[in-house]
Amino acid sequence: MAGADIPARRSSSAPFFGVAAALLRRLRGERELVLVIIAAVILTTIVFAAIPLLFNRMADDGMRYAIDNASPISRNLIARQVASIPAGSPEEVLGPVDDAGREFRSSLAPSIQQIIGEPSYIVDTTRYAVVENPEHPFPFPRFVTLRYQQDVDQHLTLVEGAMPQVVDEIVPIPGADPPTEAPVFEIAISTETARQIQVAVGDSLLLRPAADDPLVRQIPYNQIRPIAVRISGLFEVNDVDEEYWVSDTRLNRAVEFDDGMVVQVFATALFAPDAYPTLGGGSGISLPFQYYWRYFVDSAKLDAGNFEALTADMRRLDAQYGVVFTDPTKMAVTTGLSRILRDYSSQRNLTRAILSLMTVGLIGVGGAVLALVAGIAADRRRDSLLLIRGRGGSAPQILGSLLVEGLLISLPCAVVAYLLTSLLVGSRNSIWSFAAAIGVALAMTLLLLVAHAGFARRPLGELEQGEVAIERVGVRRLVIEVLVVALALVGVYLVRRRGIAGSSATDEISSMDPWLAAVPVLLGLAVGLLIVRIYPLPVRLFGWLSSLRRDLVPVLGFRRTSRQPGATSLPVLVLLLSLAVSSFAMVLTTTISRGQIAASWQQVGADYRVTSGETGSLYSLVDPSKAEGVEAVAKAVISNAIFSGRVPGSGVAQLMLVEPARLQDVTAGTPADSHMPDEMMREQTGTDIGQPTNPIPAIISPSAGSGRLSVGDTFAMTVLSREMTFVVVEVRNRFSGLPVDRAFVVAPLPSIAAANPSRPIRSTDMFVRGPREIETNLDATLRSQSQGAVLISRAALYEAVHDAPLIAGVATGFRLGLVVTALYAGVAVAFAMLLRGKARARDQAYLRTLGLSREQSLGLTIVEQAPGIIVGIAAGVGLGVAAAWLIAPGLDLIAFIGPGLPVELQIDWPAIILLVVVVLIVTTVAILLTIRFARKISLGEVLRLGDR
Amino acid sequence: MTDTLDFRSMAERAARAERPQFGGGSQIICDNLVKIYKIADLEVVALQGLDLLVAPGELIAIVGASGSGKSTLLNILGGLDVPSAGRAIVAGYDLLNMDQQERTRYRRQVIGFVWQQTARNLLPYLNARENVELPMILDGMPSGLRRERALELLTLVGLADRTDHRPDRLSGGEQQRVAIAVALANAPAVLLADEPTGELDTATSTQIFEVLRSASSQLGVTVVVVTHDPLVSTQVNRTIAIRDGRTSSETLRRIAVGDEGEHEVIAEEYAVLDRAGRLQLPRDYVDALELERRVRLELEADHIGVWPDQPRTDPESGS
Repeated sequence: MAGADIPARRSSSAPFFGVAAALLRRLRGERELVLVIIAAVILTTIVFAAIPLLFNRMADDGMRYAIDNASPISRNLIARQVASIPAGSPEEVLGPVDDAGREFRSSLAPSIQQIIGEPSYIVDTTRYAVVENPEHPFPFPRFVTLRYQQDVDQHLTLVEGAMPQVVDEIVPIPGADPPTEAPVFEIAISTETARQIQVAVGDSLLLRPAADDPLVRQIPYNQIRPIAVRISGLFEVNDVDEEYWVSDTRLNRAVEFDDGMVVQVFATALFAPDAYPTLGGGSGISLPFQYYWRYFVDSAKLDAGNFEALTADMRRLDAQYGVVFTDPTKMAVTTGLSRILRDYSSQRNLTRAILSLMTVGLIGVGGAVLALVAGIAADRRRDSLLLIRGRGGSAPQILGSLLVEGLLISLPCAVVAYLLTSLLVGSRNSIWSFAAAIGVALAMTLLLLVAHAGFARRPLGELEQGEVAIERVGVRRLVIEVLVVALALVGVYLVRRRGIAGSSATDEISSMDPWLAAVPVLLGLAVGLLIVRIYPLPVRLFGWLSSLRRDLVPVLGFRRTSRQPGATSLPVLVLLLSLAVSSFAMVLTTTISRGQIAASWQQVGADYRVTSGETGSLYSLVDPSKAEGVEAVAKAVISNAIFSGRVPGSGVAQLMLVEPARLQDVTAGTPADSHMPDEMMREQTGTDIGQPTNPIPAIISPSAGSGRLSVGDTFAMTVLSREMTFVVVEVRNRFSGLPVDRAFVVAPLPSIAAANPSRPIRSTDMFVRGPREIETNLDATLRSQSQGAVLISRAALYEAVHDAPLIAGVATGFRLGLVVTALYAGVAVAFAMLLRGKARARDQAYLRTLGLSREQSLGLTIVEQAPGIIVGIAAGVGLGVAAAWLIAPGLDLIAFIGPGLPVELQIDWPAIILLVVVVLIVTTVAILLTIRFARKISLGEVLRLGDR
Repeated sequence: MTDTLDFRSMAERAARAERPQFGGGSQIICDNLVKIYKIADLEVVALQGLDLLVAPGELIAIVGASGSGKSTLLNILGGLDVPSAGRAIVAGYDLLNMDQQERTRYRRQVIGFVWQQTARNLLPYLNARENVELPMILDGMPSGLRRERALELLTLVGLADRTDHRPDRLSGGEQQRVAIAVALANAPAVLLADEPTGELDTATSTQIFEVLRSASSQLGVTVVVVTHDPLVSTQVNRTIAIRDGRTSSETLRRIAVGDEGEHEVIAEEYAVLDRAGRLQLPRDYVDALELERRVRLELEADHIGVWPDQPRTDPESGS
């Protein structure tokens, strides 16, 4: 009766929930398993739900930081237009100007309106040239623009005279034929402007619209009459760096323009707002005004969630109102906001790409821990599953009950963990955070199903034979493992070649390539699979060696580990992945952190550096030592120099002439320590300094002189228009204060000065030693000495890089990841020990009946667990460091370190050792707790379960 | 071999006789059953052409030394394993030709299983009643009927007062009785028991057998008990011995009334003749006559004689 139909005696499908409810009763007796599943789901959910929230917070902070640290003129919007807006009522003369600004604001896209405040306007007249008295010619041409700036009186302090008022006066224009009169307008100027254009309160000037001013260019010159202005008062700007000024200091100080032949001075003066109606026609014809409306961006209103909309709207704004050859009578908008957003976007994408490494690593480790729990759960339930199968339980019934069980336990835990995380992190919500929480619950359920699938579906006959020691590798498994290894190797190659974010057509970082981000995890899996295959071999060797001794414990422990690798392979894999990700993170954070410090020292060269900015050299008045707190100063001249071709060495190099002894004082004990060789420190004497008979000592880079120079060689360079001979006293890869990507030559300034006694040498840079606290004072001192000197603070430079949210976020992200993966490592071992506790207790109880003592039992546990833990930790650390070395070239870490130095991988071995110690402590505590638990169980209970 | 009888006429007579189909009417039919296991590179032939017939409602024991194949046979009959060759029909269901779904239903509805170890019989997290109800739930029985039947079965096995006890609060014997109730939950046609008394003392073992006998007699369930305990053999009417993967002998017991009215149990052991005509001679017979490799057969009118191929020399007389 082949294939007899077996009638379904009951309904065709057994009630699903009845079966599930019956099988779920197992949870009664599996408290520790349920607790472990809950703990694993909660921990993993918190980690994964927090990632998007933390990234949102970092992205928001980064966006605000980028805006706040941009110059005011870059970050704000300035609309401008040449027009003749009619005056308003006498109470609000410039009301229509304000209205025009508000109207323009309301025409902007909502995303832009959301971030800007109400407009603040400026009204500028045409540029007037001062009509000079030919009998008393002024040494330089003077120009004046009259301006009114909304709310300006709140940002100035009147120091002399009075603010301008409307006056009803006219004055005759001297020398005019026919005689002509000019209306008088009162103006106020800054004290600095007054000094620059050499006027005082009460002085009058005759002004004529400048012929070359775009506002008057179309008007026949003979139709334009001059106006008269009288200085009514002098003021001081309260704070020239205030946001209100938007970097426009023209009211504070006149602009001096040196065209090489003559210096022209362009002053800006305040006029009375009530003079607005008459000022435009003051010159006989109606002249337009240049209107500016400044819209200040409030960074607190920015959030990265609106980034795409804002960027798109800004692009449209730039396209519509961009200032490129436009008609000045049409509204134009100037802003650097688009560029700031673009730079921010690039940085954010790069940050996201780098952090994706950690994210995927965490996903890998978290997934491995969940898989470990699911695998051990299936292992524990083997007997009961076989019993149910034997009683007629079908695979759908068993798997269905697992589905219900998984969802019942995991979903509520995930939701609670998600809510807790949202509360704790407190940042802008993200749908990804909720999705991650649900994903963890579903993953746990799926893993439970997969782990139990074998017991639910494989033929009972095979399962009844018991666990067969797998000596051979199945073909399918081998193929999968080889595939993982191959993918990992290919991925490493691609990351090194293309970078973590891949490449795009515009060579800008547009998005993160998720496969490349998964490369470290793939590498971890690949190495883990290999380790799991081969580590039983040395254990087997140890087992054989220990069998030569008389002690039972080592041989028993090693043999069990080597012959039942399945019991420890998954925990070893989890441990390995966790330590790999932790070590990888630690190497990168150390590299970034130390790199930032080193890069700032390399770039600045000392605590402070004073440079000449645009003026080319520092004025002789610049003397940082006059600031209180300065400990040492070294002058330097930095320029490009050319090797002379008649002696070995050719090409261009950056030449630094510096005071060696003073530089040594400035940099001693700092990372920028110059370590000047003795030859540089000695005072050179003689009249032939710089000649081949008395060459000047020099430190060079390996690439200087086309790389053909070594210590003792001489070479010639043109310095101060003279060819001088130098001798190489040291070849050095880098010199603090000079760029590392260029050839350099460093020589003592006193020797050059001695060789050119009649030629004064003005330094271009000064290196200053002093504590952080003197920065403000030093800056003020330098400004008072010269407007051209620029102070660079190494500490401020470091902080600008280190504290930038998108950069600091990378370091923070890696540190958090490090802590979490280390925690996972300990937790994985704890879970495994806890869930296998009863089975181990039974095995050990059996051995105890044979005479194993408690101490031997402890030793046995240690011998069984130690190989896996040691191998997992050692391999994990090695893999993490190796992965960092392999992948770092593709990570563009220079964006996080700052320019100045190439990226050099840094390994903080003490920190890694500490990490290993912490993981060892956690795993040891887990093992000891399990042993303690096992000791509490009586042998009778364990071995004779069910019998009294 | 003698040629005094007319084999041709005997063969004709046999051909003319209507032989019933092998095993017709039996609850369990094993016909030349073979099972080969492959473990790593090793092939183990656990069953080497085993024949077995069990009538409906019968209570039999299968005995044999370790490795004889009895547990393999039980696994096959229980639908836990698939035979490699031969025929295995249980309650009309061909065990070689069932798909996974049919096999699951077979295990659920046709077979009840009792294992030696209690851990394999009962789920530790369910009480006695819940364990008995589990197969019924798997089969889709409504909850009211389930509960009622579970109580009936537990009463049958004498544990009506232990329904809410979990296995760890039951003695070994009580656990096995619950296990029997579980095996009977879906009113199976056959109940298979693998060493059900292996872990129990004599008195408890006797109790268990009483329960099995009740199941057989009251419920009409065919009961097959696998054991290597000789005491078990005395509890059943028919004992089948398996040796080297084949049935070697059967012992039938009957109660005879003596001259003085006393009841006497008479056990008669038979060698099993399989369908190919093969016979396993008892080991002690073979050793006693030093039979090896081949023997001479002689057909007599009512028996077949078996002689060694070489005449034996009497060590005393020399003849």
